[in-house]
Amino acid sequence: MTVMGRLFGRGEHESPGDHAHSKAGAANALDLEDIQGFIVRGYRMPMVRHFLLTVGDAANARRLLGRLIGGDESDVPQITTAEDWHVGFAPGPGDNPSDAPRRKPDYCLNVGLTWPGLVALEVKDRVPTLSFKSFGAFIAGAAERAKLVGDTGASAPEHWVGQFGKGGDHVLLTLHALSPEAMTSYSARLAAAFSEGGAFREIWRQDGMALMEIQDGKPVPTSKVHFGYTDGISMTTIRGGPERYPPDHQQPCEPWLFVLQDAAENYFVPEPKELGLNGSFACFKMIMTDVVGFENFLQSNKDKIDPELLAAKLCGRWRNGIPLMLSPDTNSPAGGIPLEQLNNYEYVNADGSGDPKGLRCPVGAHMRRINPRGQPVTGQAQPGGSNNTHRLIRRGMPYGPIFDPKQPYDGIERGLLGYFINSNLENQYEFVLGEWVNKSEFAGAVRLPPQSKDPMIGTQDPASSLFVIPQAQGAPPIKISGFGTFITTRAAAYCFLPSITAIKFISKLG
Amino acid sequence: MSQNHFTLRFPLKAPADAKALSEQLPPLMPAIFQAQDAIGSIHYSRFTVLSDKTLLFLGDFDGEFGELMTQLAKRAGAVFDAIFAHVVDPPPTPIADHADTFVEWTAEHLLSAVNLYTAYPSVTVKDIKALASAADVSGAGELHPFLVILPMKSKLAFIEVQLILRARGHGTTKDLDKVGTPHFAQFIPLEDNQIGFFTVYDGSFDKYIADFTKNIGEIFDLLFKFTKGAPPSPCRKYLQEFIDFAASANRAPIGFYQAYPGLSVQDIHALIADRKAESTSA
Repeated sequence: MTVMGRLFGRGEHESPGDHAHSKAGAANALDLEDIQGFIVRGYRMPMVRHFLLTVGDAANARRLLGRLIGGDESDVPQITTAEDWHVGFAPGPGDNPSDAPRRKPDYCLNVGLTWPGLVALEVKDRVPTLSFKSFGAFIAGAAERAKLVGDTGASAPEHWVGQFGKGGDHVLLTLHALSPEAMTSYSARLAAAFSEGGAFREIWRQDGMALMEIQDGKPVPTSKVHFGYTDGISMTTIRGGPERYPPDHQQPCEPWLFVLQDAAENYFVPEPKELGLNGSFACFKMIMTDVVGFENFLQSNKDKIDPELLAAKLCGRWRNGIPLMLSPDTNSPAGGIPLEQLNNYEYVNADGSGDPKGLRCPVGAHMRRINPRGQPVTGQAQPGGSNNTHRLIRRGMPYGPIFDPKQPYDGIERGLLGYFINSNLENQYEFVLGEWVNKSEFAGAVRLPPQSKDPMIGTQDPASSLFVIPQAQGAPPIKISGFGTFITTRAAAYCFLPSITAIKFISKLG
Repeated sequence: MSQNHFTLRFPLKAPADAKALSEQLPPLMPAIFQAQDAIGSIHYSRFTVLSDKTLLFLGDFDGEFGELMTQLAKRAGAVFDAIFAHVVDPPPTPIADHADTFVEWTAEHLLSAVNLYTAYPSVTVKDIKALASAADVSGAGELHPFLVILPMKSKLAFIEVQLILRARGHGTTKDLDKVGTPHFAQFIPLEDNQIGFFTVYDGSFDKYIADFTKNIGEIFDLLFKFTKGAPPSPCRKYLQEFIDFAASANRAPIGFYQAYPGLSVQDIHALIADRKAESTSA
C-alpha cells in the first residue's frame, strides 16, 4: 500500500473487525463512542473546512451543540466519534445489507471550545463545580501563551487573522469531507444551523486540501506538504487505540496522554467529570509556510551541500519520505524500503549505539526535535527510552494550491492548518515548541550548538541562526547559518475537545 | 578516584551572626571560587544560611576529604577566618597557619548523608574539563542548586525517614538516573528534625517538573507522609502545589561554584560516551 493509500483510503490497519475489543480490557480502555474521532483517528479525507464561531444566543448555541450529537442526521450533520466507520452510518452501495456497513462516511465533523467559548456558552456561570485545575494554559489561551512557543514578531497574536486571540474565538467546528459536493452541502446545512435563533455568528472560515498530483491522467490527493515533503509517515500510537500503525521502536503512548482519563499521571480531569472525562485539548493553528524562502535557502547553500541532501538533513527525511536513519546517502536506496518499515528506526539504542552524534540524522533536525525517540534528553535520560511524555498527535492539512517552481512569486498564501492534540498543553504542545523546537539545552551543548533551533519551524534570528550537520570520520561539520524563519503563525486557539457526554451536558444546561 | 560529598555545619553564636554572614559572604565568593579552581577537585559548592544558628557549606568533590580541607585552609583561609568570627568554638585562626586543626574541626562538623547520588561517578573534575576542552565544548546550560529543607513531624518521623532513605538508596539512584537532570544529590539529616535535599540540576524546575515528578515523585511522596506542612500527594499530579512547596522550602544559596559552568548531565554523558567510542575504534 502506498503512503497515499494509507492516508486517503481504507487501509489494512482499519478493517471494521479490528475494533470489537476496544471497549473491553484495561480499566483505562478508550470509550470510543464518547471520544471525538479526530483525537484518536486520522480520517484520511482530502479536504477540510474550519469554521470559527462566536456565540450569539447562548441558550440556542448550547441547544445546537446538543443537536450535533442528537443522532438525527436529517436534522444537522453529526459530530464524528472515534467508533469505526460502520457504526452509525447507513449501508453504502458496495455493502451487503446483511453485513455491518463498510461505507466510509462522506464527512466528519468535530468541535473545539476555547475558554472564552465556555464562558460565552455560560458553562462557567451555570456549573459552580467547574474546574480546569491542571490546565492553566487553556484558561490563559493561545495569545497569552504565544511567546512560550515562539509565536513572536510576525507570528505574534496582534497579527493573527480574524478574531483569533481577541476573545471572540469561541468555537471551532472542523468539517472534513470526501468530495467538494459533500463539503458544499454539509457547509450549507451547518451555516443555516449556526444562524438559527442567532445561536452563533460565523466569523472566519478557512479551507484546507490535500495537495493533488496527476496520476494516470487523474488528480489524486497526496500526503505532501508545501515544502515538498511527504508527511504523515510517523504516527503517534496509542496503547489500546483504534488505529494500528507500523512499528516505530517506541512504546505505545498511554491513552491518558491524549484522552482525559483518571488514570493520568500528571493532571486532574476537569470537573465535573461528565464534562472532563474522554475529552482532550488541542492547539488549533494556521501556519503560513514561506516556500519560496525555503527553496531559495536550499539553493543558496549548494556550494556547501547538495540542496536535496540539505532538505533531508533539515527534516530528518528525504522529501520523498525515506528517513535518513534508514538511508543516509540516497533517497532511492537499492531495493527500496517497504512502507511499513519507513518509521521503524531508532536514533539511540538502549546500549548507546545508533546515531548518538547525528551523523545520519542531525540531532537538531526537525523530526529529531519534535520526537527525539531514544535520544537521551534532559528530563528523560535513558538511551533507547521512548520519550513519550511530551508526544503530540498532529491532524493537519495544507491550504493554498501546490507550489509551482515555475511561478514562485505567485502571491498566493500557502501553509498548514490543523490541530496539535494532547491532554496537557503545558507539558506536551508548549513543552515541545518551547523546549525542543526553540531551544537547544535539552540535548546538551555537546550535541546541539547553544543558539540553534529547529531549522524548519523554529523562530529564527538570521544573525544567530545555525544548523550543524555533523560529518563522519572526524571531518569538520557543515555549518549552515544566516537563515530566517520559514513559517508564520497566522492563527492559534487553545481548544477543549469535549466528549459526547460533555456536549450533552452542556446542551442540557438550560 | 571516588567522588564524595561534604556538608559542613558552622554553629553560629547568635542570630545577628547569621544576618552578618548573609551580608559578608557574597563579596568573598570570588576568592573562594578562585581557590576551588586552583584546587581542581570540587565539582560544585555553595553556602547557605540554614537558620539563625547554623551556616552550611556543601560541595561535591573528588578524592579525600582531609586533603580537600587542607587545600581550602591554605588557599581560601581568609574566607573561613571571616566565617569563624561568627562561630561558636572555632578552631584557631588564621586557619591557613593551622590547617591541621581546621581539618579536625571540619571532620567533627561534617554531616552524614543518608543517600548520595552522582550522575557520572566515573569521572573527575579534571577528566570533565579535559574532555570538554578536547571536544571544544563550552557549557551553555542553565544549572541551579536546590537546597530544600523538609521539617519532619516528629523525632520518630525523622528517624523513620532516614531508615526509608537508606533502604531505598539504590531505587533512588535509578530514579535520579532516569530523569537525567540532577548532577549530584544528597538527603542529609539536619538540626531540629529536618531533612535536607541538596542537589544541582539542569534546566528550569518548573518546565521539567512533570519529568522530575514522574521519575522522582515517589520518593517525595514517601517523605511527605512524614513532613510538616507537606503538599498533597501524589506530587506528580499536584504539580503546582509541589512547585510552590519546593519554592518555599528552598534556601537561597550564597555563591554557587561550578567547576565546568553550564555543562549539563547530557553533555557530560555525551563526552564520556564519545571518549569510549573513540577508544574502542582506535
